[in-house]
Amino acid sequence: MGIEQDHNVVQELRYFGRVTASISHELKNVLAILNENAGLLQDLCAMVNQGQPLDVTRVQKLSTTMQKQIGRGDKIIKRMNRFAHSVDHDCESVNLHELVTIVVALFERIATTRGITIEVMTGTSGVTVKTNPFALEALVGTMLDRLTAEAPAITRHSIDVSSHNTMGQIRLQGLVKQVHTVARVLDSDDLKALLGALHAKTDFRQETGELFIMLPDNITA
Amino acid sequence: MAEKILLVDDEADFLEALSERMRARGMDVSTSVSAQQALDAVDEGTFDAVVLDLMMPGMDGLEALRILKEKDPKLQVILLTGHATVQQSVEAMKRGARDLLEKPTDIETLAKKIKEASAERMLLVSEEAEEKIKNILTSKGW
Repeated sequence: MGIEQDHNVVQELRYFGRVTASISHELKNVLAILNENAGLLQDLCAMVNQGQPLDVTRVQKLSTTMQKQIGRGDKIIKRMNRFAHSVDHDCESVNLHELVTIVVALFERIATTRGITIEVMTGTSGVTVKTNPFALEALVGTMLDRLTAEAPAITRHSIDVSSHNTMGQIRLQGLVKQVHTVARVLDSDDLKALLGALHAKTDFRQETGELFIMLPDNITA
Repeated sequence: MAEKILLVDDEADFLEALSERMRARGMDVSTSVSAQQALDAVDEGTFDAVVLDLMMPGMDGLEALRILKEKDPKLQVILLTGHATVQQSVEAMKRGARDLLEKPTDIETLAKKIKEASAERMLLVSEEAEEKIKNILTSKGW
């Protein structure tokens, strides 16, 4: 493995680490809520043992909260599992809409912390390309991370996918007047390396604030 | 006397359950769902301790800690977090956090830390009062 490939692997591992850290933080919050609600049930039992009447409505409310948090945890783990399996193959057929949806969902906690909303638009959902799924997740995720960190004044972005000629396209909107930020982010070595590995190109349209990532329909062709 | 506690976390379900458990243990608990709301609450009232989440939308816990300590250096702040890096923990202590606990936490451990924090604050307040009295006595030359 050459130095350049080593560098790419390290960058991809960093993305994997960031996502995993964010997921584990969110799971800890779920566990903390379950812990406090289970503790409240114990407190209620202790009160009943001391002769106080049981408030059934209170118990039902606790049960509902716990079920809600279990559902939240299940969703997080499903996403995490799907993300973990994206390193299984170097090249496979990828549905771009599904990939973008999962990347945005994985980024949600960080986006919320930054006070930013990213909406995945329901547009063309059947666009598929043969590519490296994990490298593409790392590219889109890292771009979202950097752009939202460096342009904090923008609180709303949208992302969608489409196809153009034989290319798959991912479009990030909401970057009006961010020409310097976008240029700086795209000029970073790790993003250039990821774009190179994916044979992808970018196009930033300053006047509309749209950033396009263009992907070949088959990376091996 | 009941400890006056401000609990700050953006997870509403967490705040509701923990505050109820703390009240059942004799504490006087107020809650805030954001750092900004917590800063407003501290402007309006006095608290023996603030239990503060490290990661929140908008202003994070470390920044909130800095401002809280500027407003009231005697304020005892316990940080509560899902995960803290070594760097964050060191920074929290540098900024004057009394303690840093990891979620999910044991209520009895948290209650013990709060009582210790409250006692420390009372000591600081009484030392300050004593110092003021000494200064008055010295300056008046009685």
